Formats: sequence, C-alpha cells, structure tokens
Amino acid sequence: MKKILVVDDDLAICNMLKKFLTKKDYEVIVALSGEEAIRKVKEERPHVVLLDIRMPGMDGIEALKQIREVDKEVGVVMITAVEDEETGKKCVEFGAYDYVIKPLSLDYLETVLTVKLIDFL
Amino acid sequence: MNLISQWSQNNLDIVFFIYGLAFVIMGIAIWVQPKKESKFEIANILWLLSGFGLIHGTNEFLDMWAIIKGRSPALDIVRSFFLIVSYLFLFEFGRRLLRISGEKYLEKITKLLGWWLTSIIGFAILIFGFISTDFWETGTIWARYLLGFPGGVLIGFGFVLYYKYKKHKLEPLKVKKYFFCASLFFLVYGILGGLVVPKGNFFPSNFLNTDSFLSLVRIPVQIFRAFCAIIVTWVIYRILGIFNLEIRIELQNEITERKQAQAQLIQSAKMASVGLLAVGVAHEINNPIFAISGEAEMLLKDETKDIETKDASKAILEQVKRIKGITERILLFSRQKEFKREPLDVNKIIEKCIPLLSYQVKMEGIKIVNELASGLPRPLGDENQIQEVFLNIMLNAVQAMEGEGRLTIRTYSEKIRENGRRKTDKFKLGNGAVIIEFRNTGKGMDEQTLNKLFSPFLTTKEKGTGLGLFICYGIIERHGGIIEAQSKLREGSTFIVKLPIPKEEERQ
Repeated sequence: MKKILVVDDDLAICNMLKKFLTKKDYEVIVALSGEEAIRKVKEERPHVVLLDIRMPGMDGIEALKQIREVDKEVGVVMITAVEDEETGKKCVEFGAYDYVIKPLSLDYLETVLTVKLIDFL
Repeated sequence: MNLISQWSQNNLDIVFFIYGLAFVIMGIAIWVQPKKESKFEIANILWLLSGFGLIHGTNEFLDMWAIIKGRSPALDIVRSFFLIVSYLFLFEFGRRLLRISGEKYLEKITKLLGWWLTSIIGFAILIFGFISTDFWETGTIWARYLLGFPGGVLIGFGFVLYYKYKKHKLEPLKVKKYFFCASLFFLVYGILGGLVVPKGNFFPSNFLNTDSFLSLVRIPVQIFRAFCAIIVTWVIYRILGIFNLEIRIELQNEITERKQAQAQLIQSAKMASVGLLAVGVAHEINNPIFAISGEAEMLLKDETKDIETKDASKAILEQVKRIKGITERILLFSRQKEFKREPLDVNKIIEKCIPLLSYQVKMEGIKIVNELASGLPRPLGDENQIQEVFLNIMLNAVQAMEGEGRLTIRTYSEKIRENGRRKTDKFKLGNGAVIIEFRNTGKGMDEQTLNKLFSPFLTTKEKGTGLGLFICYGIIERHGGIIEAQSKLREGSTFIVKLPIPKEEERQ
C-alpha cells in the first residue's frame, strides 16, 4: 500500500483528503504544520507528500526544502490557494513534482498521484 | 459749435497737456503692469507701445511748451526728434503685432520685412528732410506719412486679428469690446495723426493739412487726436487687465487640477485597498471551498448513496464552480502572473476586438465608428490584457445601447507640456499618453453609479458579476495608466483609457 502524507493547517481539508485517499486504498498520514510534516517524513517515509503552501509557522516552501534534505525520493505535490507564478517557479526549483491550485477536483488529484506513483512500482 | 471752436483754438496748450498726459499715463500703465509670466505674445511687444506713449506724450508737452513760451529753432528740433522717434515705436509695434496675429501670410510678410524696414523708413525720412528746404518740418510730415499713418493702420488690423487668433483664450476674459475699440481708435488716430499733417509745399500735405482741416471742421485736429489718445489709453488700460485675469485663471486651474489629482490619488488608494481585501477574501474562501467540493465529489461518486444525495452533491458542485469563477475573476485584479511589456499597437488591438465582439453580443443596429490616429507612439504592455480591457469596455457599451446606437472609438496621443494643462495626470503620465476613447450613445449612468464604477461587485446587468471594470482598472493600473469614465443619464457614456508613452530609456 502506498503511503501518502497530507499536510495542511486546515483540518477540514486534511479530513476530506484522508477520507478520499483512504477510499482509494492509500495509507494516509496527516500533518497540520510544516514542522510536523518534516518529522513525519523522517518517521513514516511516505511515497508522496501533498503539501499546502500557506501555513502559519513554517510555510510549504521551507518545508519542501527540508523534506528534500531528508528524503530525495519522495514525490511532493504542492497545493495552494494562492496562484502565483513566482512561487510556482520556486516550488519546481526546489524539486516539487507538481503544483495544483485549490479548489481542485479530486479526480485530477488522483490522476496526479497515479502518475507520480508509477515511479514506485 | 462756435464756442467750442473758439475755445479750443485759444486753449490749445491745455489740449496738448491733456493729450500728452493721456499717452504718458498709457506708457506708464504698460510699463508697471506685471506681464513677464504671461503666455500672451502681445506681452513681449507692449514695451514698444509704452515707448510710443512716453515719447509721444513728451512731444505733446513740448508742443504745449512751444505755445506757452513761444517757438524757437532749438525747441523745434527737439520736438521733431521726439515725434519721429515716437512714430518709429508706433510703427514697429504695429509691425510686430501683425506678426503675432496668427495669420500665416502676414507672419511671413512681416517677418520678411524685419526691423530694418523701420530703420530704412527712418533713414528715408532723414533724406527727405535733408533735401527739403525746411529740414524738420518736412521731416515730421514724412514721419507722419510713412510711420504714423501705416503704424495706426497696422495696429488697427493687428488688434482685431490678434483677438481672433487668441479668441479661445480671450473670450472668457470678456475683452472683445476693448480690442475692437483699440483697433478702431488706433486706426482713427493713424488717420488724424498720419494724414492730417502740418501744411507743406508738396502733395498731399498742401491739400490735406491741419489748416484745411480747421477750415473745414472748424475745430483743430489736435482736439480729435487728444480724444483718441484718451480713449486709446483707457482701452489699453482695460486690455492690460488680461494679464491679471490670466494669473487668476492660472491659479484657479492649478487649484482644480490639484483637487482632481488628489481625488485621483484617493481613488487609486481606495481601489488598491479594496483590491487587496477582495484578493485576501478570495484566497481565504478557496480553502473551505476545496473542503466542500471534495466532500461533494466523494458523495457523488459513492455508489451506496441514493439519488437524492447525488442530486444534492451535483447542485453543491455546481455552486462551488460558480464561487470558483468569482474568486478567479477577483484574483485577476491583482494577477500575480508577470505580464509582458511589449510595444503595443493600440489601433490593431481595437481592430482585433471588433470581430470578437460580434461573437458575444448582437450587433444589429449598432454602428461602430473608428477614429484611429495613425503613427501613434507605442505604450508598453501585455497585449492580451489590454485587449481584455478594450473588449470589456466595448461589450459594456454595446449592452448599454440596447440594440441601437453608435460606439465611437477614438485614439490619439497627447504630449504633456511642461507648463501646460493636464497637470492632473502629470504625476503618472510624465512622458505623455496614448489615449483611447470609447464613446457610446447608450443609456448612460447617474452620478452615483459613476462614482462607484470601478468598485468590485457593482453591476446593473442581470447576469453580471460586477467584476469586469474592476479587473480593467487593475490591468490599467498595472500598466501605469489611467482609466476613467464620463457619463450623462440617457445621453451615453465615454470611457477613457490612457496608457503612458514610454521614455526613451524604457523602450530598450
């Protein structure tokens, strides 16, 4: 079973994504902050991280950088409510796999995940 | 009649005094009038008229002196000298007045006949004087013929032409009557002073002279000249008032312009904060919307749920889509995407918009008139975004006309002069602007609507979101331009977009 880490300071979003991904037969771990996300990447070694950008404390970009230091393999999909070309470029530069904008359809999210997870087959 | 005739002949010294005083006052009045800052060209040549007034006035005082103390050859020489010099000033003033009268051919002729014309005439008078028996007497006659009379005629025409040329500026100052009066009385003065000369032994001075005038009219010509001098002085004094009015108007304009600039600053600050608020809200909304849409999507796909639940989920997703649309449009206002800065062909963008327009609205009964200036400078910007603005304004216009009317699109460029009008926009459009005007004959707007026109969520349309002009405002702001609207209820509206002309160094 593939392991997915959902990182978002908004609990409603975490719960929704967890419900959806569990249904799709993924193992889901949740983190509510950047710091927690890094710790969980170390401990749980997920295949993919869904990472929110705008969070109190450590933001998604910083978290991305540190996750990359811990784990070079993990696929990181940035999820943001703020569409901003600069940030998008930065994410790709720091090794994010994709950059999606809220609200997005779950179908689309599933496709992104499937494509990324082919790497781990 | 007899009495006046008798009196004036006996009291010519008083007449000369009044005559001289009038012209001296005119000379001083012109001299002391502050006019350096004036934009009327006439201000630069009035010193000549002032010179004429002072010198000719002195000449009249000398004439008075001659009557009181008796003539002497030395005094005659001095008097003649003053007369000739004063007429030189008068003539030169007339010549230069015609030169600035705005008539192209006159400008050319008077330019061709430069200052040397006046000098040559002066020289000719000397020659005429020398070859005659009575040097100074003959000299003054020729000075009157060659300088006094033409001078009066030139000034007579000059004032009328100058008024016509500067009508747009002078009309609000209500000085028409003074200009025409000056014209008439300089003309009359030119005839009385330039043609009615002292008796000479050659034609026409042997025929038309002060003596023949006296025997015909029975009142000395000097009375009429003095009368002209008084009128001319009074009229010139009133004309000098334009320089004071000019300063006052300039000040008033400055004040209104400053007020406008201030209003514009407040407006743009207000728009910026409204924009910031809207953008913040849009971002915040996206999070819960994602949670809602995700849940609804799962319900919709859950095979165990009944049809009612699925319909409800569908409805939820439908509305989520709407909210998403709104937030997306709001975010366009402060679109973080980098926009291109390419030289724009404004006319081409407009021509591209017109066919696009007909896809979106019915164009029957709508006439589009293009008044596009060629050779416009190219402002820098993002063609797609500018096209969006134009299309938006045009769509609004067509919708406001409800199936019948005319949309006039005019483009032109405007240089912003250093000391000229349009200080309002100067703080933004330092190098001038390309201006695009969209004038429609639609239903127009009331003032209340006009004031809030660019604010978000303001709409008069049934299906509008009220974001169109808000986004346009954002786009034009980011281009460093200005968008504004004028409107009158039931008469139509005009939208004006001003895009800055890039400075030389920006163009590279």
